[in-house]
Amino acid sequence: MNIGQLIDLVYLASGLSLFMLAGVIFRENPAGRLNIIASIMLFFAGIGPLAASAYGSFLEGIPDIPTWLLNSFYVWELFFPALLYFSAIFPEPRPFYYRYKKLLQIAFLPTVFHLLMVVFMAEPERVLSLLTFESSFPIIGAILSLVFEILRMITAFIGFLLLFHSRFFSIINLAYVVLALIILYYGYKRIENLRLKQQVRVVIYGISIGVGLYTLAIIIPTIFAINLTNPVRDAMVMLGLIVGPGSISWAIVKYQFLDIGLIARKSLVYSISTAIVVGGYLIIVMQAGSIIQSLIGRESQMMNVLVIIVMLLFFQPIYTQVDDFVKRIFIRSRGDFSQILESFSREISTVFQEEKLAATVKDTLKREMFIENVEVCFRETERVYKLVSLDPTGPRVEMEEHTYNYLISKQAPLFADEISSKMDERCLGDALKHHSTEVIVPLIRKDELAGLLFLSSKVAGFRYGSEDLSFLKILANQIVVALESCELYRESLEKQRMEEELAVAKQIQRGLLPGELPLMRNFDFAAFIEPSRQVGGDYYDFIPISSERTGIVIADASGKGVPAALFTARMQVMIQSEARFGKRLEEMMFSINNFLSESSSGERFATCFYGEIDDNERRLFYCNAGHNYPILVRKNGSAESLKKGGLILGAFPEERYETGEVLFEPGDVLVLYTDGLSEAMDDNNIEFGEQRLTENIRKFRVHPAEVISSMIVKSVKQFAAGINDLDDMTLVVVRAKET
Amino acid sequence: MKLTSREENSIVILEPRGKIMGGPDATILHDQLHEFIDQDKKRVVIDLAKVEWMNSTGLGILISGLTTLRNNGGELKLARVTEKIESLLTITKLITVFDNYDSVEDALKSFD
Repeated sequence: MNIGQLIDLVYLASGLSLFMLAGVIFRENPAGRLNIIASIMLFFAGIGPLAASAYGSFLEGIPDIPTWLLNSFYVWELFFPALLYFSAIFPEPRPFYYRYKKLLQIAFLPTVFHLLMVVFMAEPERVLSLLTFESSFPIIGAILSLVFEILRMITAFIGFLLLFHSRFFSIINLAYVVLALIILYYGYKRIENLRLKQQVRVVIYGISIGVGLYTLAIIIPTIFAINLTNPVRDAMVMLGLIVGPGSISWAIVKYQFLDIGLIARKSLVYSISTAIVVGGYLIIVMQAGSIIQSLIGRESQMMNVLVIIVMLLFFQPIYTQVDDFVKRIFIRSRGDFSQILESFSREISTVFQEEKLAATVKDTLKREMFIENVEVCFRETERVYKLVSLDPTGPRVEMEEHTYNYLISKQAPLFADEISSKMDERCLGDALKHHSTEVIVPLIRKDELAGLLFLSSKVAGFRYGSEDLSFLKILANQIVVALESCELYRESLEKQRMEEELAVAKQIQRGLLPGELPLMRNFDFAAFIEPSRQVGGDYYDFIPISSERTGIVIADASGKGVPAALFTARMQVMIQSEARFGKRLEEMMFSINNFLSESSSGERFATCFYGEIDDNERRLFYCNAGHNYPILVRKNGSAESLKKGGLILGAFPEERYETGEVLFEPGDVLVLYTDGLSEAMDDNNIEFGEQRLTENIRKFRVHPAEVISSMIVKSVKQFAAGINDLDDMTLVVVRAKET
Repeated sequence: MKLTSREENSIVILEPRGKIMGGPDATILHDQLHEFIDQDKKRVVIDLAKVEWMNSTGLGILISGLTTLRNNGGELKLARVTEKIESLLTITKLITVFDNYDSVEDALKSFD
């Protein structure tokens, strides 16, 4: 095979690939303006190299081929006005396109004229010879000869034009090329979508290089009558022919140029790779004969067959290798849906917030599918869907029942116009119009609509294919799974938060309790506290004031959990410091109440009993700020309530308090408790009550404080057996020793 | 807890029913009280005849209601307090803070 044959082969291959590209692009969307123009452009571009190949390989050798037939190959020059037209609408129609649409169509006229001229007027001499006429009717003859004279003049003029037609029309073609490249460049600068920009860049570079090389090799030399040597010219044209269609194929395969579907992209890749491999194989097989001849010095049919068989053996693994390579490079590219899904699921596996999930969905769809606008709605309440946006008061989509049911039954993405008639005009209809929705993707979880995606049109007027819809269906399933994990995460977070809070409250409460019981000559003590599951505001305290005097506190702050615990802690600090200050009890409670009232809105308060025991005098001074009356059971069994004091602490400021006083006799027992104990209920909703408590104290009063305490607790627990505790339960027992 | 309200001589009468305990229950009463204050309705009677029980949170709501109304120049009165709640008010000495009437009519009259 010589260089000439190789050139013809390259011409043939590039011409066919251009045809194939034109076919793929047209097939993808036969109604799309961009697809039509692009395929027309590529089709005409393909005629050029095919004609060159045909001329080089066989037409050249046929004698007496009429010039007009050869000249009909000029039809390929329609590529130039088509390129201009393409530049005006790629990737999106320029504003001027609509105004100068006619002008763009007129741009085809010079080329058409040129074509007609070179075909029909290929040999003006012959036309001229045909235009002689002799008539026997003088008048008609005169008229006709005048007409013929005019026609002869026109023909002569065209004949004159034909002398430099190629130069003249090369100038026009050059103008088209320059204009088209300028328009393409400015169109490129206006693009905002990054991926679109990427593919448009590849296409523009490819076209610029391809057309530019052709311009340098053919157009410029023609205009300026420069003689390029054949190899240089051929190399440039061939390079241009490879780069031009190559870049468009690359853009289609790698960047989904014109949103060409995966199947089309795959077939494109396979046909190109197969063409390369088979072409290579054929060249080698064709050359085998001459190679063998040069090696062994003579022709050998046997060796030829052998080489072909060996080549066939090699061919299969080579083809597999190329196939693998092509798959790796092209098909598993970012444009491939399975890869998008893979990276999407990886991304959302770390997303636990609905807002972030929505943002990821939006990003992925905009980036990978060229969708202009994506809105994500998640279910808020029954048939009400909230558009996920930064604004929490953002719009809601409320859905009619039959629309809802339709979406559920559909189970798959659908075009908006399919449903717009069924949509409630007021709500979802508005959302459709507002976001110019083209496709709706229902997110279905266990036969319920968990959310919706509203997808607008794609950029540059690309359309949704069936491939897109099945991809969206899989994506929707993934979103639903992610939504589930968002919910689980939120629930577990909430649970964890509550448990942590309870643990904190419990810790605060435990920290408030005294480490040990006071030791006194004439009294013995016992204390018991059992926090409820929710942790209330109970606490008790013993405050050593002097060797003879000990303060006793029992209190119950309103509310539960950390706030109650913190309130109790503040109260304890106040009581401890005021008590050690040696104030009178009524003054002490007055200032504690004022302090707590100022720092609380009144909703938070505490009932509190504070007493001071004098060991020597066996005397108790006390102030009861709204607490359950402590019960004093005398040795003889009579009972008294310790009521003196004043209002609960922290509710109203400036309240006055009174101090009460009790003189103990040996054997007297004082029991302080919180309502968690007295209000413990049995399964008939009957409270344990003060009566039962008093009886219990009476029953066990001869025992040490510790025994009385544990017997009361046991009795309460028996009473309320099986009932979940609702409140903290606290008990303090003070018993005057008998010896 | 369920809550109904009516008005008589521009005095709001709130009728809670059930138990006034903590949680979302309690906020209904709280929100309702503050809504009336916002509407410049500052004379309120709470009819407690149908309230079986209230806990410390319930008491807190009454206290804050009273405080807020008084701070805005209004008044909160209680009517038909059940024995059980009366004992709670007695122990906490809140009985000295709240005006408490045997009937709603008496409570309404007390505003004259």
